[in-house]
Amino acid sequence: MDKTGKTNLVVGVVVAMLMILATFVVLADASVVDASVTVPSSCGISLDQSTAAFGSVGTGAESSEITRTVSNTGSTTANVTIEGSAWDGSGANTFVVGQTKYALSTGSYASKTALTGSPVQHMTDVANGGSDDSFLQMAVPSGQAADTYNQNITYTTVC
Amino acid sequence: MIIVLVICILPVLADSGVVVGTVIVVNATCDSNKTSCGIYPNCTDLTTLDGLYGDLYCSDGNVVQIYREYYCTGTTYDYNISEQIQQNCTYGCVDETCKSYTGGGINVNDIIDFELTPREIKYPSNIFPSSPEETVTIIFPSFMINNIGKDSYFQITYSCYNDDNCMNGWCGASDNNFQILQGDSKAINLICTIPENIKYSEQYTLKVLVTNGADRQKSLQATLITADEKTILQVLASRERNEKIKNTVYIVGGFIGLVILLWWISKIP
Repeated sequence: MDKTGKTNLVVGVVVAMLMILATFVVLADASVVDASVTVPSSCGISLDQSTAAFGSVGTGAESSEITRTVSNTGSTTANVTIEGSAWDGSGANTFVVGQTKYALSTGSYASKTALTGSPVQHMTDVANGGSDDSFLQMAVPSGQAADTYNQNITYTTVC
Repeated sequence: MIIVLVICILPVLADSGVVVGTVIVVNATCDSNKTSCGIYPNCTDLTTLDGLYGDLYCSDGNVVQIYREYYCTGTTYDYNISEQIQQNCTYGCVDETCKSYTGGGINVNDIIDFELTPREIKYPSNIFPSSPEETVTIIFPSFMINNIGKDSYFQITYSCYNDDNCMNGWCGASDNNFQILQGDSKAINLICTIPENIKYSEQYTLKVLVTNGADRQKSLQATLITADEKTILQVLASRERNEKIKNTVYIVGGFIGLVILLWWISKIP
């Protein structure tokens, strides 16, 4: 092929490529759609420990204070409520949930708030990714039968 | 071709975590020592209970009060008692106070302890009245009053009595009011005037009344017995002889008088 023929071939390929490219451009321009997604907030809570061993406490005596750290693993600021169950031992041995008290700062047993069987707000505006300490303490009623007692203390975040 | 992509995310509205509390309830006792005794939480410091209790009272001549010393018996406590002298008294104790030697006019204890020695004494036979008409004053050998009690007394009276009656003419005492301290002794010099027509077989009583100006008194008695029987018979015989002599004198004298009177009448012209 002579020089003129080569030149014509190259030009023709280039034009074809440009024509094809134009086609895609036209197609792409004709098929673009704007899409967007809104992700809602989510709650999450975690506790540093799942147990609170108050140890051996004599009848009519108070336990030592125990601290549990509550963390907000959710995606937004949250409030935390607290509630509990009655203390249960073997057989009919039991005593009321209110013998356990809680507070947001360390202090005497008398200064804390008695736990109840219904959720009560305990922590306010815990930042997402943040945490707060819950100070727990209990007292054994006078005359209570010697036994091992258990109680569930439930922390709940609400978003 | 249009592609639409849809992403769905479900929201988590609440989340919970549970802490399980455990406690071992034991019947707690305190330290079981003097400073911490009992059942928790009622631990008692027994040193705060040690001390004096009750009212003052007299004991062994002193003013005393009960002292309690507490001790722990494990979960309970008890105490030992002792008398603690609050005042040592020199002159004894009465009405929860020490008595002072003031010379009289103070109260006495309900218990009066005296001892009278001897408890009987005989008439000195040689001073018996020689006739029923005569009276005689008998001075007896001294009686001793020994204060063996715990108090001092400040007024002692004593008299002669016959059947608990202080008879006119019988009563007489010297040194009728004197003081006798605790542990001291005093001599009583008793003078009894025996009236006429005494009965030699009777016994007479020396009665000592211990008083202290108030209504407290106690009587002690010592029996004054008559002479022995032999002496009594001798005295009776002597009396009888005297009576006979007297009667004889009266009769002879009367007869002589009558003779003289008749002689005088016969001489009248």
